[in-house]
Amino acid sequence: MKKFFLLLSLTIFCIATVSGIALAKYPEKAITYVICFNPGGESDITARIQQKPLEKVLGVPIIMVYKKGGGGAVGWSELTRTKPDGYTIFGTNLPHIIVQPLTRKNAGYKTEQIHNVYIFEFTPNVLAVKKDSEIKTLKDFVEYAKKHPNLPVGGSGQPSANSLGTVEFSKVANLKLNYISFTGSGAAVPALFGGHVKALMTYTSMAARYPDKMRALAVAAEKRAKALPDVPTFKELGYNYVEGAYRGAAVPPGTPENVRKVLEKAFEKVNHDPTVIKKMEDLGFIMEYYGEAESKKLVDKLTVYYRNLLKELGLLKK
Amino acid sequence: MKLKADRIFAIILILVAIVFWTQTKELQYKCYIFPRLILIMLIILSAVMFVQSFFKKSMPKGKLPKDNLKYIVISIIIVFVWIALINVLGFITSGVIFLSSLTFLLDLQRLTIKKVVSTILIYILVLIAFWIAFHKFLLVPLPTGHFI
Amino acid sequence: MIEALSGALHHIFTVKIFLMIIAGLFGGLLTGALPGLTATMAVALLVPFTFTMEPTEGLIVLGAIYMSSIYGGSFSAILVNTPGTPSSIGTTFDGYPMAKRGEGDRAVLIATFASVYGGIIGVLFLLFLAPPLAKVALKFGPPEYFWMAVFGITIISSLASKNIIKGFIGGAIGLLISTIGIAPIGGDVRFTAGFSQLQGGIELIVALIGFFCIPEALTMIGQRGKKFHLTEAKRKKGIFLQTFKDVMKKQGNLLRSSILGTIVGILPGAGGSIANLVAYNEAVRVSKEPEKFGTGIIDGIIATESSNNAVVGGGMIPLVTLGIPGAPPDAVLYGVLLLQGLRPGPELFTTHSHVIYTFIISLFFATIFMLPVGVIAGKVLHKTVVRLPVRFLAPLIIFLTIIGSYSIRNNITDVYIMLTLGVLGYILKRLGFHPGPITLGLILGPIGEAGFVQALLIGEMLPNKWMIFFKSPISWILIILSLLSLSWPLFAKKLAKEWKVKGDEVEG
Repeated sequence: MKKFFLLLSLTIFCIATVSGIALAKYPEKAITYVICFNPGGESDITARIQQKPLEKVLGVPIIMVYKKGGGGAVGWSELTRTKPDGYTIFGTNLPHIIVQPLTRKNAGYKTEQIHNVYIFEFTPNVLAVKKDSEIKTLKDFVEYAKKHPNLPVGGSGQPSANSLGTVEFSKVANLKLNYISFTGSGAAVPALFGGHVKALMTYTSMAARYPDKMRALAVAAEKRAKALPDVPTFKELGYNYVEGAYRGAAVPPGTPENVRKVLEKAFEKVNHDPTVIKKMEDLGFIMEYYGEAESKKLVDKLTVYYRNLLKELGLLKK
Repeated sequence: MKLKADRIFAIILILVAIVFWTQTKELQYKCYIFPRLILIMLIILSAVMFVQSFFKKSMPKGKLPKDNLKYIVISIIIVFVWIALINVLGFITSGVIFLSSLTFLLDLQRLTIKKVVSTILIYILVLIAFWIAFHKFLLVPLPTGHFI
Repeated sequence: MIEALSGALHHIFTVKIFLMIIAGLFGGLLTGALPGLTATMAVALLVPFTFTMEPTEGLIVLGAIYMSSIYGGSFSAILVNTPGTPSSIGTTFDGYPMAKRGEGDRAVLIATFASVYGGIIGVLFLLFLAPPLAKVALKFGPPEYFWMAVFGITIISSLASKNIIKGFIGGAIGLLISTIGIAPIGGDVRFTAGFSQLQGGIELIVALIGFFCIPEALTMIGQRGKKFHLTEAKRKKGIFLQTFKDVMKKQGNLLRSSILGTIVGILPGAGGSIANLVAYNEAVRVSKEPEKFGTGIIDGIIATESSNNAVVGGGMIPLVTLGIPGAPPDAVLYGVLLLQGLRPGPELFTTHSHVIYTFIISLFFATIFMLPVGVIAGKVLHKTVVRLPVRFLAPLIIFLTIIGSYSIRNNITDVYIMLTLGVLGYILKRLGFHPGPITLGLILGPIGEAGFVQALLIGEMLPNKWMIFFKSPISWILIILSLLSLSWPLFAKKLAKEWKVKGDEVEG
């Protein structure tokens, strides 16, 4: 029996060393970058911007793969079952990975299982109306909404940064808004242009995309977005309201530390690449530089915040 | 015969609809309203089919030729095992094994050794070609296992 | 515009571009013909390859792929009764019976001519009438989408005219399956029986492969005595010209279906899956012999195949003018444009006019080249399917269904779902429920639900929220169309009798 255990531990040791050596050379083959949303969506676009520079930094091909469904949940629950060897990484979105496990009985994953190695951008909420609307400023909007209770405001998804943001804003501005969820930021746009909803609580990236058709009233961030230099923040206008979505990249739980470090460094480097910064900022994204440790802190902080918010709204799962 | 099947199926559908209905109880209004509309529609239509099955005297005899159910069941089982093992055995290995076994199943009476060997060889070639075209060239992710 | 056009022509007439178009056409055709690999996937898969090209060249290749993958879907629809993409669902209704009669090559030719015709009409609309037509995209709000879904469901009355109750039950089953997963509005998780994998719902393509492909393969296995799947008819001389003449005689059908396809393409989120069935429905209703549809007649294929290729041009109309993608593959093209630094919208026609006109013109040529490419590929594929013994064909079809359902989301669960639905589909087929209405329900469910719930929420502003459904003229048009479509079988029976009486008199 003793012999057996000796042999067993020896075997394990050997395998560990061999795989350790193998991992030391990470990466040595193509890395799959899983996008949990549709091709052509924003998560896809940001990842596509990173694809070529990442390949240069890591020296291996990056293959994009789409596992959409359930607002990203299908992909992230797959993450928890993926081999933690660093050859499959996942794009992640906050607050999705926090809010889904809090509101769904079985989201298929826990927030702690999504191990972010880097969070690279922030897309704040923006309140926008049609360009030819009689509403010119946030003040006009507040007055209009006071006169028209239950004003329909469109946005992407529920519960999402857009939907929770609408609730938060109606609270600080003391309004009664009626949030209409659409199946994506893009799907809400025609409804605004066609006059089916009066305003959108959408992302800065959308406002940057339609400069000649959409008027952004205010940005829900600490600082203004580079792509929308003339749009004030809610804070500047006296509303304490900051909300939006972050994007990052994550690995499955149990991924070795050296692999995580390589990926963290690679994303860090790509995120400082001037062409990447230019492309991202032109599209309305705000660059962020959260390394692995900082990402965890951010997720922890936001988890507390969203738990309280959802509890207040009665949306926390029973 | 056909009418009896309709009658049983109508009852099954109504039962399924009731099961779905019980599942909608915990949902918010905006999440259950549409499924409930469909369920009402399904129940009404099934009830109509149920009643119809008593009044329609004769149905035109089914044009569908009789299928050999035994082989269908066997092949469904083979395919389920195939899917279960595809991530263990790998794309090409599992493909060759199960494609060949399906071919043999369809050709049981006329099976010769020459046919067995040639079938397996053909499938190996087809799968490798497929794998190169999709996995290597187009970068379509294919199921992977311990072997390729 | 003239200047930009001549510049574009100059740009295109190089050997390199022509070769790229041809390569794109072949690639798209094959992906389209394989069930599971849709036009959206084909375009998304090839996006990385375009990074190394110039923006215009990349767009040209993607356009060619898009156009031909929609067309390629008709091959599998005709030859193995499985739509290669959701845009060819209707092609199975008449294409497959034709192939079973031994007229597979003729059916493929009909699909080719109709696809080229429809593609050209769509591109012409894109070129000349984009700005005014794009406004249609904005007229459709949530209530209108709901009524469109209702109208879509009423199509069942002409699809399943033999047993309308069973047709609508099939539709309801499809609608019900579409509600599995996260609710589009509200976000609650429904009907997953505790499986977290089902949160994402049942992917349309997975269901499509399951409901169409597996029953067909199982039937082949069940009739294992048969050596070949389709009978090969003796090749008639002059079939190419004869078929061309036959198709061109149906100008009314071709034009109507192409225009319908363009309009449906303009509506964001709808696309070819709806267009082909709407066009089929209209073809049945206009026809003097509606009872012949479904038995393998030329009109059925013409309607579906010309309309789905017209969607390509139509879907790009709101994309290039407003920056709103029409059909789903357009969303991918949109991403490519953004990555290349080209923002769709009016400025695309002013500051980047050479790019956009080159693209449109190349799309036009790609459509025309589809004719020779399609004729060659169609001949080869037809021969393969006809000559491949069933003992190879049936396993290979199952193999393709596994690959197809796996590669959509790279998820083995989808393969299980596909096979389960396939077995269910086989049982349903034996009971007299056909896959057409079921998939129609699956397609329209999400559109109808989002429209319905969003409209109700917006309606809270009104004194009575249900009034929102009756406010706009488009809603009323769609309501009237639905009523007409629903009551059509009643008229049809009457009309058919009258025609029959007349016919008898003539004969007598």
